Amino acid sequence: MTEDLEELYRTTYSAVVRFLYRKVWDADRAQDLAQEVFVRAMAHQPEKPRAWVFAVAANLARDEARAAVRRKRHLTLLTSDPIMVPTREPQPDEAVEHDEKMEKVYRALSHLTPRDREALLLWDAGLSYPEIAQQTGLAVGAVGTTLARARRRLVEAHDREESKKNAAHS
Amino acid sequence: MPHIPEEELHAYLDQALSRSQCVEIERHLADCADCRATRDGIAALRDRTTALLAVLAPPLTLPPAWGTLGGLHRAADSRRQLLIRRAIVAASLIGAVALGWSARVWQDTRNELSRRPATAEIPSTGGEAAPTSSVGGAGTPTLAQSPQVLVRQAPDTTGPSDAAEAEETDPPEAIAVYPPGKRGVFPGPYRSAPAEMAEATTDTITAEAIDTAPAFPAPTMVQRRIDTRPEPDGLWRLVDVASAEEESGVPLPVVAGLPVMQVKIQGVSPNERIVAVDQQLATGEVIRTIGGPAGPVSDLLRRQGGAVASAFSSETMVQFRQGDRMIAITGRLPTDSLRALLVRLPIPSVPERVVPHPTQAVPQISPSP
Repeated sequence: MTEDLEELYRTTYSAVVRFLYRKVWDADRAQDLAQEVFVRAMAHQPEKPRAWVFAVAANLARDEARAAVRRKRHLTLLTSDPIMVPTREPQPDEAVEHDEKMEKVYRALSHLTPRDREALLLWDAGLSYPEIAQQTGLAVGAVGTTLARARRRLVEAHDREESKKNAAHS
Repeated sequence: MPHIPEEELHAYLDQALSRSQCVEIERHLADCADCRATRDGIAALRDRTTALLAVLAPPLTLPPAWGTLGGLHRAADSRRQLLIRRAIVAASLIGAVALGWSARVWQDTRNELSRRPATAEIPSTGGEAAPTSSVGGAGTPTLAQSPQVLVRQAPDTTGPSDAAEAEETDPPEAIAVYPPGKRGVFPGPYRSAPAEMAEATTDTITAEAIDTAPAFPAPTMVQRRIDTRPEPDGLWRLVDVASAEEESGVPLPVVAGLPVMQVKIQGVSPNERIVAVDQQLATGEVIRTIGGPAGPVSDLLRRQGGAVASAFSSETMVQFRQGDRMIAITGRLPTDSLRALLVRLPIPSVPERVVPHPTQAVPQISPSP
């Protein structure tokens, strides 16, 4: 079991960090939480470690966001599920452009419902349909429909943001 | 030929379908250009989604070594075990304290029950309850209305039924005080054992002694088994000192210099109140001072003394009557101690010195100028 966990750690650590980063918007904090997830997995020794790891990661991210609400730091409550907003810091030009891209994608992501957003992020982290279903509470057969809707809305929302920006600059 | 639903193509491209489903879809795609176009569009949508989400990615970092995580896990585990151990110790301490407290309560209850005798009634004399230290009657102070020393009527074989006659013919005698702890020889019914009462005296207060007595009306002292908590009879209200004084209209019988634990007041008539004040000595002993109209206080003490034989066999009581008011002070103390405390009571109109009246055997204590 420990070997499985070690193998899982090697193959999914980055995905877990990426998954957490899109929730807490803090690279260092995302790494801390990712390590916490795997330490807990060592203690818990789950039967289905991959799905368990992402479920715990989602819970930790949710707790982190709630703690940030209490600390009143960089939080915008979009729905009942709080989402952290990326902090803006003075950066060189290239970094500014990257930040703008991030903000557009973030805004597009905010147009999704919490469930659609969660399913999309879990898919991007590499989870299977049954794992996504288990974590989101969806039926396995409904995961495809949810992802189809989430992808479409994300791209449409991002294209709208791009159009607004182009219209503003023109 | 029905087309493949979009969500099924999404699942196909996500490799979420079974082998048989995939085979069926591929067979259809080979023959359906529309579905192939839809498939290509969904594939592009997937790629764009992946690219957009990739923008929201943290800087690449190497994951810490697996062994490092093992160390973190062991540290977390030991912290958890330490918390569990501390919780067990705390729970054990609480349990031990609770057990000790329960045992003590049980023991105290048991002791109190074992000390109480079966009988509680002290037979009354002449239809009245066991008397207090009073003259002339079994329970009623009947000397002159001026402040006076209360002395207990000397019991006689005829009994105190004819109280008025006895008062007229026999002068009041000294009261015998029984030493503490002398069980069974307490002066409950005054009819009994007059000889004992005359002999077993450790502190006799006579009328002559009043001349040289300290400047307060020397009280009579009675050792009896009484309950220092006169709460049962009547309705008592817990009040503060100021309210009690205001309501009773007289200074409270509070021994100066001792902390007041509680003050209770009972209305005996629209204008009259009995006040009971509990105070604590430095030794921890509690004394109770009861003051109020002589009649009701006397009745109260009589009921308390006659109703229940207290668990405290070494209770003593000192009573003092002044005009129509009576004050009693009780406690598990030597009589001298109670006397000393009595001096510190704010007895109204207490003369600074005792002035023997030339025409009376029992000196009249006149108010101070």
